[in-house]
Amino acid sequence: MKTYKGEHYDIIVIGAGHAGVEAALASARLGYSTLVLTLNLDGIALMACNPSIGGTAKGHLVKEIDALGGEMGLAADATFLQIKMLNGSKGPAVHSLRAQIDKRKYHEYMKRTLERTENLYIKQDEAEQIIVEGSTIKGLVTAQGAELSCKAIIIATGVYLKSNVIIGEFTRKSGPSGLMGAYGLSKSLLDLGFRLQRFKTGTPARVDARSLDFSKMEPQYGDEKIVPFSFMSGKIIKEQIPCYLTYTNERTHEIIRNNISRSPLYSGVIQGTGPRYCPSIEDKVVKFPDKERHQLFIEPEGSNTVEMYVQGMSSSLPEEVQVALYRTIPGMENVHFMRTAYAIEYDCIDPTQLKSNLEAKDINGLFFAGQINGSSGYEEAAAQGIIAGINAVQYLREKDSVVLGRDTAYIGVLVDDLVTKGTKEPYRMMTARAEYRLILRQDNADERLTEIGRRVGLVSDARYERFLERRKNINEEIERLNKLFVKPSKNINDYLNRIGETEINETVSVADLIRRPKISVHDLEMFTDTGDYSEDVKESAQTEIKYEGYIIKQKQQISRFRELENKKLPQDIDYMSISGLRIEARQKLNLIKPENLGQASRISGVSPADIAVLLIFLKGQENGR
Amino acid sequence: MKNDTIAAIATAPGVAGISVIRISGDSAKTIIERIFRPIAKNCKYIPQRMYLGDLYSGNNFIDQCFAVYFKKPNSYTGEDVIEIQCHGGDMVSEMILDTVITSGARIAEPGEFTKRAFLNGKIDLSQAESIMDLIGSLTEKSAIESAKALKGSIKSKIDDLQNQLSDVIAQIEAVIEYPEEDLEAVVSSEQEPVIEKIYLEIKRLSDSYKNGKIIRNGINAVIIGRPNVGKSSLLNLILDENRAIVTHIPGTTRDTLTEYFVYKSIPIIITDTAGVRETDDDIEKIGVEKSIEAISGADIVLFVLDSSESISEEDKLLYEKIADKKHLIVLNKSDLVAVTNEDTVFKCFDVEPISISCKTRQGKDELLDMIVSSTIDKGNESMTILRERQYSSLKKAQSFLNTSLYSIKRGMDLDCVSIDLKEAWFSLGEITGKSLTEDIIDRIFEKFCLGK
Repeated sequence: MKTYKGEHYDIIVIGAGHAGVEAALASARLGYSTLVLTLNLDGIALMACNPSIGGTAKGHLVKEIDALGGEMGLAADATFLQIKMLNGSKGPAVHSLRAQIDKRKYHEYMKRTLERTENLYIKQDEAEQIIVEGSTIKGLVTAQGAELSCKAIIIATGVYLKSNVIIGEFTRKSGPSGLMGAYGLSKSLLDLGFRLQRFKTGTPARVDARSLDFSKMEPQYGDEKIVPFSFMSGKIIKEQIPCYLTYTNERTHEIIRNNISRSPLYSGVIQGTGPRYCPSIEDKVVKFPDKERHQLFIEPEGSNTVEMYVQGMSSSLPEEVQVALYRTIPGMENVHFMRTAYAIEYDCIDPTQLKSNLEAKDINGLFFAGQINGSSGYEEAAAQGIIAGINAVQYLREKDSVVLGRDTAYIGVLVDDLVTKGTKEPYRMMTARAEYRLILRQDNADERLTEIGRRVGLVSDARYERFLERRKNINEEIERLNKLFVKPSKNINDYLNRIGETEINETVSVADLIRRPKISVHDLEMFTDTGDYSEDVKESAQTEIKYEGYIIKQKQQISRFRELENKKLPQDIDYMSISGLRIEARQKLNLIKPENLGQASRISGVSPADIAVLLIFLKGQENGR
Repeated sequence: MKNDTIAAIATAPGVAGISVIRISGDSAKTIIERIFRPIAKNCKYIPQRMYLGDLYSGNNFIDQCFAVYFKKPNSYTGEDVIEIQCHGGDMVSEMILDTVITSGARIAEPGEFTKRAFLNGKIDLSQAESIMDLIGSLTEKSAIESAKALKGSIKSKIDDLQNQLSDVIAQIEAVIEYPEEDLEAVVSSEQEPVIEKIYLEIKRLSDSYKNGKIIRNGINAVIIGRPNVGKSSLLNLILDENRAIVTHIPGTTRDTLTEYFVYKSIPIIITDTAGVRETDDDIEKIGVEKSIEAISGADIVLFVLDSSESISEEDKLLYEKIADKKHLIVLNKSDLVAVTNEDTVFKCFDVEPISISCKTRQGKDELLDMIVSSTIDKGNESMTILRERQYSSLKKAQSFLNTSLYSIKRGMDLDCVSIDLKEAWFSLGEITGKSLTEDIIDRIFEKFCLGK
């Protein structure tokens, strides 16, 4: 096809999903002309699967994106239908915020935000070929024939590459939700030397609320006291919409068992690797035959639609089977399908081909973010998006990349896991993946990341001042609690007896009292002065006092971890020539080219003895030989 | 890692005049101050000077040693170094190393002293490059060795413990990760008995280290009795040679006498002591004191009685001194007319004696079998911890589990309990070399039906 010479941009972002949006906003806000290419403008920030943001670990990611100056938290706060703090009683490190979102409004909010951002251009077109000269990005060619030049590219194509939608025996070359897929770019990536993998994911049916009997289900409400995602959102008051809980039953399972041969997963039609944490209902029934019922949440897709999302019922069975099995569910006897559940297969890269700034190891200025890297989830995508956006800018500025450590942020854990270990299934963030989660709390994301965002230039004066103010307040509150004393009295000892703590017989500080596990500062307000600070400041102060011992323990672990992390490994080491290393370690190290000793130690097949050898090797190089 | 303090026995294992234990790192001096009581008053540990003193583990005397302090950077590793010179033999040096470890050091990796020497610029690159190969080969060797040691029962035992622990952690993590799934509510108090059970199993395993030490270093048996009941004859009988001087004059053996032999492939260190009695003879007094000292270090005491004489007050007094130790009562001279027989011994001490005759050699093998069977716990023999390193990892795991149990009792959050459980898992992982995160995540999805 004949091409024509198009415009020049500093940075081109391919894809306007959750990764692309954050990447483009970051680079444009930092003053670089940015083009976002998308297959369909109506697909900007589309929530193609569940209508929710946050949850365990994912909620942490949203808070971190926000602390760096990203948009996801603000967008969620502006468009949620219901919000909840999960895990309230299991420890401060695992408190997680989760919101049900109005999909349409979320899309509109993000599209409008892009449109309002200076230096940011949006174009509906498909990127087909990446142009590289030597080992440096020069531009790309679109399906409509534009030859665009640029200095850096961020690929954030989500599940659209060579995507294939499967519903039982029916398959179609299509992207998610009836949108077009992208069928040219995979070849260009292969030509550039990338190894591709084939992953699979799925989504349940969207059903008509008018066909459901909610009286047979349990309503699930949001929190009365709304805690927002964003540091900048302030107090939010709005009416929340409930979700509904219902269950599968033996009849549902029987239909699945009788039709399992028609499932493309079991008949071999689907080749891609699916995520274990998003199993289809047929997977659940086959793998856990003893489980009598599986729970389902019916979630609204928006305030202006009757479409409902059936969480827990993702399936790739033929449509007739799907309808039959949905109709076995209490309250869904007469269900009307608006969109049928489907599985989708797509191409992604092996992320170990990336450096920890999300740039390709062999091509300068080519960055990757989101599901193309083998991750799954809106939050995981957005987190990589903002990091790729920042680092594309750092690349243009010729400044050091922003790499967050595993001891700094869940984002750091996410990126490090992907680029160091790779992934064999769509990667989901989990709190169990974080080693230092008492340090990586959702309530202190600002303290971990706002300074970094400020240095890069994404954190506004207003946010920065609020951050400094909050830290000051927390310190003052901690001091106040240390100096505030409670005298022994019948009241306080009655309270202590009631909750099963030992009585006090001399005056003690409130700080000392809340170090006891079962006592909260909130309860003690019955006996003492309440102080003037906001709930979130009080909460953070209490956490820092109560968990001080554990926090100190984790900080010690971190300083051990840092020792290896701070030892940089030059990228030109020929590991094959280092005689002390075992052969397997030499091969793995040559393939991954870790950036520091810590990363090297996390590569499977590299032993502590290999690390000792590398330490000595490094020291030898420093000594100038 | 630069700051942690490492220790190891620097001399080759086996019988030798002296052994050297080397400690390197910031807390080397603090550790020696904790365990060593120098004879010199107000000892300041002037570098490069030798100090004589007694080494203690808590309140237990271990050995008289020399300690030398090398101040950084003027030491082999370039860090603060303490070297302890103790009496030779694996037993003493291992005990001292043990004490050093419990006082805050950790066992050095193979080649780690040399590595630190290099990193601190004490040796040059050409030396270091040859050491790099050495470290490689050493770790390879120790890898093979530990693979050998781990084959079979210990390996599968630790795997099993890790499995049990993984299950507990996965339960907790699944509940944390999926707050809205209809998982059975996991409360930490329900995990308590499970954790306690794992704790006890680990404790049993780490306790077996004592067994392992015996198997490796030998059973330390001490012969004790009042003068002239035939202690030296017993030693000779056991050794099949006239090693100890045997006379009929009470108090002939004025010093302790130690011999070493192997019985059914288990080394036995046997010590003959001076007969214990009230005495005015100064030299003999020293011998008696030494006998009492020998008892404290014994794995088993052989309390000898003469069957041709009746049980005296002296015997009873002496027995009191050893009653708390593991012991056997040996009834000697059964070839003579018996005044004291097995029944009278049993009535007096509530212990069945073993009758032997040093003249006719009757009862010898029975006695040796008893020495072995009563010091080495047969029930645990299939899983005996032999290595100091495994032992210290098990000890760590034990202490983390202990903390987690304490947290549960205090009503601490599930997440905090999980932190210590994971640490315990990592400590076991030091033995098996497994990684936790993937294991837990795999397990969560194997055991629970989760996700959207």
